Amino acid sequence: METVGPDLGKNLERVCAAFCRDATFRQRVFQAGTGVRAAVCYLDGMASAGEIRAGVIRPLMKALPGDEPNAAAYAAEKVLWATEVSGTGSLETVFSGLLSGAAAVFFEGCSTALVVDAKGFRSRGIQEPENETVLQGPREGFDEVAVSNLAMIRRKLQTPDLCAETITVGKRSKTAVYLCYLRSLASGALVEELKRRLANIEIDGILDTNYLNELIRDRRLSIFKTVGSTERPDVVAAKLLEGRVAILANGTPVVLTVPYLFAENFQSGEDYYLNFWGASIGRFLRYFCFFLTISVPAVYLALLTHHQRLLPTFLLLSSAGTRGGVPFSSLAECLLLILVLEILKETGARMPQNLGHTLGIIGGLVVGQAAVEARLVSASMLIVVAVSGIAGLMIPRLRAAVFFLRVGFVLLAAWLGLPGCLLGGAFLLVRLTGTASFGVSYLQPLETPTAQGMKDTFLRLPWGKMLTRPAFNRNLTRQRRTKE
Amino acid sequence: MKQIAFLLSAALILLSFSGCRAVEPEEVYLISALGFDRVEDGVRLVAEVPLTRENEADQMEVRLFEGSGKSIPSALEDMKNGLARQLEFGHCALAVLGEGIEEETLDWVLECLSEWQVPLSATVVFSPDARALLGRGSLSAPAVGYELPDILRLISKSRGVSFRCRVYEVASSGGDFQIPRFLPNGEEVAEVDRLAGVCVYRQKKAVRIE
Amino acid sequence: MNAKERPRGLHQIALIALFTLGNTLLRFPWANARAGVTVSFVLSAITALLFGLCASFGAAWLYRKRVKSKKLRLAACVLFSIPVCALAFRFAVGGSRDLLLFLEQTLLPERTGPAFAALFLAIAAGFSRAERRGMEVFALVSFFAVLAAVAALFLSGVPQFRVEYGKAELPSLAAVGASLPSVLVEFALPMIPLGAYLALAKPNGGGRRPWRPLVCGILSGGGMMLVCVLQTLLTFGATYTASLQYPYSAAVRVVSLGAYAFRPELISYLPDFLACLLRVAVCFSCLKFTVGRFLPRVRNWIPPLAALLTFVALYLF
Repeated sequence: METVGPDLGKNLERVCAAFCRDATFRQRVFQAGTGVRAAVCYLDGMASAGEIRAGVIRPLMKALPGDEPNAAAYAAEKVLWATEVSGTGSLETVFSGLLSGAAAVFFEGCSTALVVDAKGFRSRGIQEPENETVLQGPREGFDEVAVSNLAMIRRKLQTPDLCAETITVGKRSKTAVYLCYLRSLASGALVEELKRRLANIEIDGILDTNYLNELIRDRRLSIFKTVGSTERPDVVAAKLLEGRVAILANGTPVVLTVPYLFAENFQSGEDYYLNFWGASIGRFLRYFCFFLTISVPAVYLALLTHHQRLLPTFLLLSSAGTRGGVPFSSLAECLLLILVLEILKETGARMPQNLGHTLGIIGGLVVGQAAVEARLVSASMLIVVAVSGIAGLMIPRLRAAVFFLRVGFVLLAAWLGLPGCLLGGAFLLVRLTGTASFGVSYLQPLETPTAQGMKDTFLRLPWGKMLTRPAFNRNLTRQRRTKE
Repeated sequence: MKQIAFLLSAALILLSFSGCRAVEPEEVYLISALGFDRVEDGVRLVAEVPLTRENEADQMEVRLFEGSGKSIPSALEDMKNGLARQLEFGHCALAVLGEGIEEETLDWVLECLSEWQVPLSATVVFSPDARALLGRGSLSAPAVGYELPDILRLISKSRGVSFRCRVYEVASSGGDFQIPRFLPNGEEVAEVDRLAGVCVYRQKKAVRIE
Repeated sequence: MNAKERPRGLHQIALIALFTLGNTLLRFPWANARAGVTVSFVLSAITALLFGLCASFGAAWLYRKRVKSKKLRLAACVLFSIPVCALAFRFAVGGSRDLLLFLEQTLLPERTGPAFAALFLAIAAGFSRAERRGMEVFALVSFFAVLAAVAALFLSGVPQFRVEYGKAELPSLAAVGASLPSVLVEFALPMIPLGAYLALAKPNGGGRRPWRPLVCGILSGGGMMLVCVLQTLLTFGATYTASLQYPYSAAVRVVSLGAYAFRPELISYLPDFLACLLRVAVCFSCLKFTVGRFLPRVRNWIPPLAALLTFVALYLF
């Protein structure tokens, strides 16, 4: 490991050699105080030039005495105005400081360099997250700087109980990852397990928390999410208050939360900001829509092609009428429409907003009306797949899972009819009951159902009735508030 | 990954020994009513089939298929001979017993209805000529098979006595049951729906009450 | 009862109730039952409870005693495990066969029986191979689904009921005697593998009141079964019911809401499927725990093996 030497010139040579191909590297050699030569290095854009000028160069030039034997220690203690100054003899520490936006100060005849905090990069600022908009409630969202994200959480939870531990992940990106939790609520075993999994990650770089998500989650190939993600500080604060742990990473506004349960797919931050009656209706509808979106095309296909006896008579007659002349089998028609629906959804999500009207016209008129009139698809199947698609939009967190389940159920229904759908449902439950998120059963609170646990699952009861935290952290205090 | 490979291969193996045998709705004839007539050398089976026209789902036409044979199954075979589609009995709402069915043939009829999975809730009526009754066409519903049960329901409601007699009621009555009697009446379409009294079955013999 | 015990009790009640329902709904011996069927049913429910309790306590007692002597262990194995395993396998095969026959006659597309059976048995083995919690959560979810389906079908079937079929008449001893053995076989005998499973699967021997879930479960399962029996009898009467192959299914088919509109028959397959699946899974688990006591290394392979043997038994014998 290279160390800082007393020769200023040699130190500068080594630093310059390390950053020789970096055009943003800046250095300034100057005479500090009454004669000591000093040099300051930084990366333009990462550190603020104004901060360095006012907080480092100016005080050093004005106030550093020439006869001080350890100039670095004296400067750190009595001269520099910066809020965070640390001395180091290791060039590696100097490099990592420079890369994280600090300025490095070297002195002639001194084997210690100072790493002075002068971060000056710009961030996007606080905006409302586009994917998690609410009608009522806080509108702030995270940005890409983890430290300011932590500050946003801390503003909501003003307690020293809130812990934020840091781990560096990524061999080349050296991304700072923060574990945030409330010490008295989060399970110690969960925090330790999380640290162990993060420490085991070997990857070049972390550009988003989804990199971490895929590397630390249980059941890595499962179609269901076992790690939660949000861009809203209020949601993170609420999860921390339930004993969960949040994972923040530099460079992304998406914060992960663990453990993540199946029921959370149907919860929304807004549920808690609206009247509980309205919130309960929304919650119930999301469950119902999940059931609808995965089962409606499959059940309709099974009834249409295998159990015509079970369809209402006139629906069957009209289906037979509208299907006349359609060149595809009902199965092919159903799969084709599901595919078209996914294409429309994907296009809608990726295309520029000003092209939205075009997509509406193409989707509504061309794919819908014209395809039916041209006898490419039957109107009844189009309606069924559209209902399924609209119901699926109610639960965006299960988007990928819903697609695979829908197609899987349709294939089973085409093969085995309604018994196939029943088998599919049972298989889904086998998989769900065997899934866990960081040691917590994915189907909680169904595994240990209590009246309290159910009050925030299928419905959202008033706050006055929800007296306990979720059951997965039951070894810790459960009383959210005492009953009057 | 191993799990996915296992699931895929298992699915392929299973698919390989059982084909996907779907029947599209336009490949079946939906039977709305069945008629049984006693003819000289056996039984005549009449099936009423409503059909929707292509592109005009709200417009229906009704066809009658018939077949004769010494027994009801042979009559069905005879009927099937000329048909291009499968028959679906699950939506049959009416069974018309013609004159001469009242005695030993009734058991055959019930047996066949059960075997063909005709709904047990289908209405049973009596008529001198089942083919003539089904061949009259209907005024208010797409088919006679759906119209007559509606008429019976309305009459039952207005008179306060149930005139509907279902397949399972006939089968579970032990030979004593009441069955509504309809008369097909010449060319006057408006009189098709005339309920001409009740036929009471006692000890498997019909006693007509006008 | 503290918070930890309550949920486990609820899971077990659901599991026992659905196991009790099992394929009894499909196999209910109406043919030789006639008027004595309801009395036989109540008698067999009491016997089922006794069988279940005896098997549960017997298994718990037998395995709590640490049998050190090899001879004694062999004796215990012969006396208890072999008959229990035989019964468990018999009911696994019986449950799968009854469901398969029923579905082949009503719902399954042509020639897909073996594929359905293979998937069905694989899922049952999956439940019994997974941790016990998986099966319990499945039982709980299924229980409420089945309860809702049975209640909804009963209520929508009320307009079809005939009062004269419901006249209470005391059946003769001969009628009860004629129907009792077959009802007992279908209803009470399966309680032996269930009792053994409950005793062996519990890590702590069953808590303070091990009989409580068994009583509640059999009462709930028997109650649901009674509702189904009553619906069938009140719709068709005892005589006609005896002539039908699947009377409850037929009784449900008669129900319709609106003239030709919605047919609630669709949901009637839910109780049959879920209860049979759970019964087969519990039988596999019983095999797993009983044999697993002697061969702990192969314990997790017993359910797949049992599924394979069941499949072979279904199509070869």
